[in-house]
Amino acid sequence: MHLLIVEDDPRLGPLLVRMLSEDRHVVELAATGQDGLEMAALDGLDAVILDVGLPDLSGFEVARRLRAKRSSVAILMLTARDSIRDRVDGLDAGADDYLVKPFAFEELAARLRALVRRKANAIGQDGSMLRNGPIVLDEIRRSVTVAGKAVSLSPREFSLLECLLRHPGAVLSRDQLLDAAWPYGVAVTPNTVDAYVHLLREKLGPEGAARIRTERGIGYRMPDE
Amino acid sequence: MIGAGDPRSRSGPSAAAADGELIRRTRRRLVAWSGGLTLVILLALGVAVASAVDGSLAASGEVQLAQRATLLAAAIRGVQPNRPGNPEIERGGNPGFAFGGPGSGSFAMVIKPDDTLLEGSSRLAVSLPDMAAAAAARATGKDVREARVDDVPVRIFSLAADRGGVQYVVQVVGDRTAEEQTLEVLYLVLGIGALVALALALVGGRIYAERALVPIRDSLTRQRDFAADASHELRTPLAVVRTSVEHLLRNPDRKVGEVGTALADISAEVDRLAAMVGDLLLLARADSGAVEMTRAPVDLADLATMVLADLQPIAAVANVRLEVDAVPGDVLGDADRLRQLVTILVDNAIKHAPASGTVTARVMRSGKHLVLAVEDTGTGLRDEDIPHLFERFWRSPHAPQGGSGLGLAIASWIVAAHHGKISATNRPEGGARFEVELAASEG
Repeated sequence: MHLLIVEDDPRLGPLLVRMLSEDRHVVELAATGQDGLEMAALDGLDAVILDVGLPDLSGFEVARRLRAKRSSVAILMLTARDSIRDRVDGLDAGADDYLVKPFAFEELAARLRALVRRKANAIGQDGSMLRNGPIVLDEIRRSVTVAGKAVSLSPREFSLLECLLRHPGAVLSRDQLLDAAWPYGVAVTPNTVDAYVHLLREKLGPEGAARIRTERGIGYRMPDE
Repeated sequence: MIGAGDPRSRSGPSAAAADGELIRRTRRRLVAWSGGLTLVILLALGVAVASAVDGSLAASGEVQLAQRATLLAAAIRGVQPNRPGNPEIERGGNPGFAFGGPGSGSFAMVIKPDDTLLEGSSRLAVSLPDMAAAAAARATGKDVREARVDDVPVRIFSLAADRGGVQYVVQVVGDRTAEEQTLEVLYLVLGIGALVALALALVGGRIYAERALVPIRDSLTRQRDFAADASHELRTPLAVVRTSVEHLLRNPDRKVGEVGTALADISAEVDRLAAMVGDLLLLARADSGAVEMTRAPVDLADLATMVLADLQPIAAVANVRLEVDAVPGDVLGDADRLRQLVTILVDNAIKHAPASGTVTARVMRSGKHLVLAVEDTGTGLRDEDIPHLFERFWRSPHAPQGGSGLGLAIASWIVAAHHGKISATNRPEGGARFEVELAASEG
């Protein structure tokens, strides 16, 4: 998943980035509401983890402005306030879910998965498994198997495969894949995507590679059965 | 870390509703007490006034009748002191109506032992003379009673008088209509007055309760906000500690360097939590007035020098120079609290001073006061921040990270506890200046 964390605490923000990156997510960090608002507007984000107590704009305000700009990115509010009024305010401002500090990281990860699953409206996906033919991606263990055999992928390959698996049947352009699987602020040419797809196909073996179809001049697609 | 533009009470409407219920209940009680007390006072006052007036009217009426009866009885007994100017006595004491003199307007009769009227006495009404009263007078010598004759309220005064072994009874009857009407008007005035006073007491009680409860309501809201803010401030450090621990537990074979980073995070957050809990406790005690202050002469210049020496290591890390420019002078106060005050101000200044900047602590005498000023060479205070500086949990959105947002609130409380003044300004040369004014101790 491509995630954005908007958190001003100098320790909690980087810590979440570290842990989510270890889970092979692509993670961005913004320390102010204004920065968060700008970064959340970029394409390819799966979810925003939004702290309420930010120094400039409150998280409520960031969520409201994002929704006002017709952004449909999944928003998970993170807050130290637990009154019912705060929860209602957060959800009304446009958040999809709400988590109170101090939270368990496992719960944060599970809620993110649930949010993204709901957003992608992925029918036929059972719980935390993304499947396409012989390819199975376990979202909790962050592992991939092809016909039952484990495949070791680099974080980038993993993100690329995850993005393709989430949108079965859709043609994804190279730019879309770049947005979803690469961090912002890094200049990457579309050819890089081709190079990574090539590597990914090799690692998945002939059976798995056949599931990633090339749409000439546009991008890539996984079949929707 | 309160988000900008959040005007409502931070503890939310459910807490406000609970406060509202408490306030309403208290207000109802105050109003009920005020009304009830007024009612009791009015009842007591009304009963006292009515019985006093009633008694006084009856007494004066009785005196009038008694005077006439006594004169008549004397005439019957044959004792006729020659008192000129008294027509009744001159005529030997005539029964009937009297006009002028004692018992003016009353009607008198003389009753013989056989219950018939003496010659010269006329019968005024069927029920007169009152034979029961006459019998009572024969037995005891005298009788006073109130009765109604043909629906007219009267007072009947009967007095026994002997003449040559024959017992006569003089009965004088006075009209009580005027007396009764006076009492009726009095009862009416008292009743209406009581209702008006009760209504006023209820309305006034409500207004008074409303006013009296305003500070209580404010204090309740402040307390709830304080608790909400406190829990908020404690949760983020807790989140860091919890997530760091989870991070370590997830992969126990982590590299030593990574473990060290996580442990350093945890340690720093635990320090932050501990400091904040200490500050919170101090403020909570200050609110309930449970902090004891000693009063002894404290040399501010010496105190400033000691604090700067304490903070030298921190200043060295931040590459900030510390200076003291102080004249000796004593204030009366709590040495530990004053030291905490100066530490907060200087520590704050170090945080806001730029690298190779300077923090200066000055102590000056100004009339009967000593002024302690802490100045830095930083970018100064923003005008819009100045009104909020001493609020609890308030942190400038532009301030460097860290700090509980309680330091200056505590400083402000310490100054207030010493009956001093604290203010924050920008120096014309740039940089912030915090100034504390305390009364200099005599001698």
